[in-house]
Amino acid sequence: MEILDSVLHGFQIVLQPANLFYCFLGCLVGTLVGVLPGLGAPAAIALLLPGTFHMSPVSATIMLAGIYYGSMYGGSTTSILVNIPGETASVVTCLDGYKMARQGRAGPALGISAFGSFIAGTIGVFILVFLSPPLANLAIKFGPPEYFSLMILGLTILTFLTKGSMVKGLIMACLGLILGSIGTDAISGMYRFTFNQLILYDGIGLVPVTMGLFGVSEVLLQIEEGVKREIFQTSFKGLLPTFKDWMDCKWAMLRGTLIGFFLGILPGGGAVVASFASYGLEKKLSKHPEKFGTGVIEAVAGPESANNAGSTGAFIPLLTLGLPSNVATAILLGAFMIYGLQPGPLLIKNHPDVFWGVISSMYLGNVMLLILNLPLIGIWVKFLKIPYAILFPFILLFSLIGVYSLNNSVAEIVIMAGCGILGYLMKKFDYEGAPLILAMVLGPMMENALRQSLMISRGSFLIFFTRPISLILFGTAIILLLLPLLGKFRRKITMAAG
Amino acid sequence: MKRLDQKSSFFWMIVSAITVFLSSKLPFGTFANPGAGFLPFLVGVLMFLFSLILFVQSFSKGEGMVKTLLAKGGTGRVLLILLSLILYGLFLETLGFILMTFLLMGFLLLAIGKVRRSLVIFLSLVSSLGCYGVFQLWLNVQLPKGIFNF
Repeated sequence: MEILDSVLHGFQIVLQPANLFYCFLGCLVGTLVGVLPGLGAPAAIALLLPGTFHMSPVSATIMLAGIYYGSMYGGSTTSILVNIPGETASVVTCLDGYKMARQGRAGPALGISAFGSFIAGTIGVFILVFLSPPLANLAIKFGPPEYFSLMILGLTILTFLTKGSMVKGLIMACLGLILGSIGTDAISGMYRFTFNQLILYDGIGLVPVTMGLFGVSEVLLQIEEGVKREIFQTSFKGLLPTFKDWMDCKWAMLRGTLIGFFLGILPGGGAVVASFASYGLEKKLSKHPEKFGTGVIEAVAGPESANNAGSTGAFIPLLTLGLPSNVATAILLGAFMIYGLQPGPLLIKNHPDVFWGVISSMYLGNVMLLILNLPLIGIWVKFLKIPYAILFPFILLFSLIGVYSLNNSVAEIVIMAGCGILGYLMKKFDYEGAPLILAMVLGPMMENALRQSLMISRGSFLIFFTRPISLILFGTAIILLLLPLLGKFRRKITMAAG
Repeated sequence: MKRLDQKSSFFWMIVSAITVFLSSKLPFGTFANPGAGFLPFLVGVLMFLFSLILFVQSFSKGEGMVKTLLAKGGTGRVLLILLSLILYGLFLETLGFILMTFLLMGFLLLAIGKVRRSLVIFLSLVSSLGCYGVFQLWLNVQLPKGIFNF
């Protein structure tokens, strides 16, 4: 009953006209950035962040959260119609969604992805409501060693799941930790790697780095390659999936929701991993796995449900532990701190308005997104028809305004340009940006937790292995790190034997 | 990929060596009371080790798909965009948001996008004035006015 009262209290907050408007605005912007390739949710959140400073923290967080989960809805539109994912989490939707569009079934593909997202988003919010309070209570028991182990696990999971080389992921994580250590040391107050530059005293901002690594670098790559988009011409009548479509998809959606949500909870998990995991599982369980990749509707429904549930699940570590699980939630964490809120176990107690207001706004946000994404699909397709030659200067302009307006600093524009080059080269050399960003965000928190743990244990690293929760978290991280080595070892033995 | 991995791992080895060198100048402290240089030093060492592993691994890799690092004709466009971003940053506070945004948008649309001139002027005007209206007047974001005071 206490939870029900809290949810009702949340609805009282979100149903205030101003909050309702900001929830709608967040969903609208989220859908737009999801539809437009090259401008993802992190960039959009960073862009609108300075504009939220004069809002109440509740309204601001409702809007920024709306952008985040709203982008998951919009991302599928480009995947299905243009074969270019609007969001990384919709990459896997291209495989079957675009094939469906080419077979004249763009309507059902768009429809099932919107319905799947809605169902997953709504179920995800339900689980979030019931899981957050007990997890927040558990998190109160966390001390510095547990926090440090959890952050190590988060970084390990992310590097383990990055495509390509895990070693490259680890190098990126190290680079992120180094970048995160620039600025004033929180414990001793000493300047580190600042080279007497005033702009570096507070550390390198997350927003210019994120905008550069993800936004600017994507524009540079697309301009270099001269991308020509072929939008599939089709009518959008028949967006409602048939009864057979629903029957084919019901379990895929449910499985996608559960996988997505629980992978979203893990630091380093989130929507991208969830969508790939769902696709893999559906293919494995399917009676006709050979048809995957040729336009199978459950291959659209599962991953789209998973990425939405994943984005909802990602709010659990953010709200209950104060730990971001991906780039977008990392920027949200920064936003919380700017508003004077400390996400973590005490948020639910100290700021129930924000906690329950944001969660309740997700129910309404999902309904708004369904309306925005189904009847208004024609409008979003018109945005897709804007030539990239016209679109890219606007993406760059919004990034520039977003970066400058945060601290009114020209130096941050130069940092963004520098990170744009870095991100561009990283993509050329097959390095992932996500571990770098997560490590950069977690770096200062990790360092504090590590140093405090060592002070408590008087210099003994055994403290991470003598406390049960810490042992489990650290042990899992070590197993994940060793898994690739074990795989190689097993292959060598098999080759030697046979 | 083999050569690219060798080059990139070598680059990261240099970065990590510089990190170790710089952090060695900061107080390391003791294990019981770690100083400001403790974590950066350890991370620098770890990064060096990972780079070394990547370097060694790259020798066991086949050449695989040959990947072109730079697309033909595209490099110039990439450099022009980067240059325009840096120039925008350098002159933003002197010339002001509206004028610099007009110039930047005009340049990007005309030189990179090859959009027709009438549309370039229209879009540059709309974007500079529109963004000023939305961000400065509506969202209260402080945008620089420059020496012309607009």
